[in-house]
Amino acid sequence: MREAPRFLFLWAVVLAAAGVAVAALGRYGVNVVAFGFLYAALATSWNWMRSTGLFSLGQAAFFGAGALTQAWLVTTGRISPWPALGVSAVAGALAALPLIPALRLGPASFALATLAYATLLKGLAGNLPVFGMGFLLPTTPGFDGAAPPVVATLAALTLAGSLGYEAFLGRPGGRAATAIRQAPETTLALGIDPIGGRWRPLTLSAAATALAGALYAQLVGSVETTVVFSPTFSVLPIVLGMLGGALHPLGGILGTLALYPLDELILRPALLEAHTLAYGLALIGLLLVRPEGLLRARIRRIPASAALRCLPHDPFTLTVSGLTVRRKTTAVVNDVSFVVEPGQILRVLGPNGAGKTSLLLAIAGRLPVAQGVILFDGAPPPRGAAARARRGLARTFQTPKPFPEWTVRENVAIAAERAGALDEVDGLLEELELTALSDRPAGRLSVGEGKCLEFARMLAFKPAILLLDEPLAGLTPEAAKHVSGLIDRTRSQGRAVIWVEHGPMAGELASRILVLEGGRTRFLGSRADWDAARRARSS
Amino acid sequence: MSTALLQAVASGIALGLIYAGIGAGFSIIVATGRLANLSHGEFVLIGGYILYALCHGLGWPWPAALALTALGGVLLGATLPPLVRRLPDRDVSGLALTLGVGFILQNLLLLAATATYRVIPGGYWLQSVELGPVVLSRVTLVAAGAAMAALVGLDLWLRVTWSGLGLAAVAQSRPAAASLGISPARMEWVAFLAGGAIASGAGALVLLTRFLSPGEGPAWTLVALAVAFLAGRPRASTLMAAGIALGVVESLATVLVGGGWREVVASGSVLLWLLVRGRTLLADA
Repeated sequence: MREAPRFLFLWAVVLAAAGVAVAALGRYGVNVVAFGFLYAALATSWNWMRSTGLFSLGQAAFFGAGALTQAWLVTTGRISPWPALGVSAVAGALAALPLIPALRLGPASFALATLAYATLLKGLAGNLPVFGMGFLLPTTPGFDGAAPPVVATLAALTLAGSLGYEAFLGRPGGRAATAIRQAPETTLALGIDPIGGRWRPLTLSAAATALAGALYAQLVGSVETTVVFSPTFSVLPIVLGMLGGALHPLGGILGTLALYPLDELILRPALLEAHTLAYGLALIGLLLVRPEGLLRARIRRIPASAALRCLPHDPFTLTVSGLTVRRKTTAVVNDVSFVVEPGQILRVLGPNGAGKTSLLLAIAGRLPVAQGVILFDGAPPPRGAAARARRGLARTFQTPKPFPEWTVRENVAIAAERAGALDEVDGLLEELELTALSDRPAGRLSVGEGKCLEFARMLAFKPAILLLDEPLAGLTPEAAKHVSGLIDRTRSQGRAVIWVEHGPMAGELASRILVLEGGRTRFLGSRADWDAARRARSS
Repeated sequence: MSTALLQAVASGIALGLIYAGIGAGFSIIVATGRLANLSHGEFVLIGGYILYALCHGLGWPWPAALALTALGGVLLGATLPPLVRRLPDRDVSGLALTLGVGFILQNLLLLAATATYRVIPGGYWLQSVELGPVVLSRVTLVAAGAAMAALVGLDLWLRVTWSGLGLAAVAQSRPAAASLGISPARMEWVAFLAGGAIASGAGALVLLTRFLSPGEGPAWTLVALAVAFLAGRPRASTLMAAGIALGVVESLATVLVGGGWREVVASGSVLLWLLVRGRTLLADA
């Protein structure tokens, strides 16, 4: 089913189910509907964060922050509930700020950090006298319990969450988020900062969750820290979001529709104290049987007209002077100097452990410089790998690191989009003999095909300088010759190339050759000098 | 140092040894099973409830009850490997799975034991023992001593026996261990079973010193996380140091600031450790 009809159909089912619940159960039915929308909003907010690869085990932190803020404002502050809702949402976003340093963490470490953070806020709030005793909210005509404005606001929050998630996924920011989730290192090489691409979904999700917490406070009429920060409000969004499909904008709503009525109408009356057992069972069953959830992620086509971030990648001279790079206490690159002009290829040779890859990583901004300088056109380079990529530095990896869920074409298109050159995608696929594979998910390519894709993606980025880490390894002799030809053609277009490679073709096509051994320069000179030195050594 | 602070430090050390015991099982499963078991706190609680039922309900002597408690922990540990093996990944899916297991166990505890707090009646064991300027209950000393003995025994097992060395080998490098004929899959089973038994045993010690409630599981999981992260590899010395550090900070915070600070200290420690040492999104270059 296409997205728009699916969206309308699901919302029609949701509204019909809500109507039936209200008609059949009266006041209790309105309560059920209100909590249904509350959980759907929480699950949708959690899913939105999940789209960037973040896995939160601590949504209760934001929920509790919103609920406490709302309760404090309307009781102690005597503020009307409506403006208090806005302030509570902001409080949720602010509560997410301490987690921004954690955005550099991998998914599991980030998940544990959110778990710890939620418990920390719970403990701190419980120990603060102003919050510790809890709140009993005053009655507000037309805004108490499951009053129509509260239910309507919850429904609107759910709708806005799913629409916003859909719109986000279709925009460059959403594509960047999806890219970060699949292959963060490759995303960095395209000039996208993983932390920058994640903080907006984090704060948006936190604000929406806090708003849901504030509405919960109005719905229930009382707030206790142990309740609003309880793990239940962390676990429910995970189960419902994953059940529906975490990477789909409608996943949170579908998951809630599938499980919540069962819990509320059947399990709660039967097992009052332990009715949430079903959520634990559903989560385990889901992980074992269908981890992607009921709705699979949809591959977003990059529109041919998308050329939103045209990056100027004019050729420039790279100067490396007295460069020393340390890993812990060992100098892996030691006092290395060279210059690469536009239109030159510098071949870097050396045995394993010579420091070749470390040299590339330092130039790319992925390893810190201990001593010496790197200059782009005589000026210090921008800080960080993403900023250097945006300046025009592109790299390939020893082991291909494609975006595995995207097709071959999408992998090239995301790079072309960054360079404002989407019209060149098909030509590049043809040149790299990838046209027949263009609709295949990149995660299903062989190593050799993956290497070709790496190269296509890099060329689509239209870089000024290419950092190639063994681009020919794993290719057939014919493919290696073909890729070598492309590298030479790229050089002739005025780009500079630093090319690390083992193998028999190591010296070919080189303008200059740098030989490293134990991190130090053993040879630096032209191809002719290199050939002469080899002849002298063999004789 | 005032007597109150000395008392807090002494209580914190005793408490910390029990925390070290709680963290030991978690640490073994993380190291060899490559899984952060978020249901560990529920394993601890179930151990406490088993001991409570056997001693208080059936009148069993403690040693026999403790043995059966550890056996219960082994069975709990045995539930994880078949589930974990089917996961697409152990990082995030492993966390979600064990979160689900913990949720189920918590609900089952609520069904079986209700939300009522459980405490072992004191009598002789709650009498105090004076140790210079500080006073500790007999039961606290017994629990701390038992935890220390268990940790030393664990250390010996890991360093001297073939199975213990196998666990350490798999924790360091699975391919290298496999090339020496050590089965990583079998060692994972051993880690999960041992981790479960240690968690339940630690739960029995918790019962001696505190109350039990089904909702306490996540808090104990955080304590285990904090101890395991701070300690690094599962060794008695580092586990005890980490547990004591947590216990003393918690006790001092309670004396100086008041209130319940266990969760704050444990969660704060975990958060700080992750921000400083956590595995990053981008692999080390």
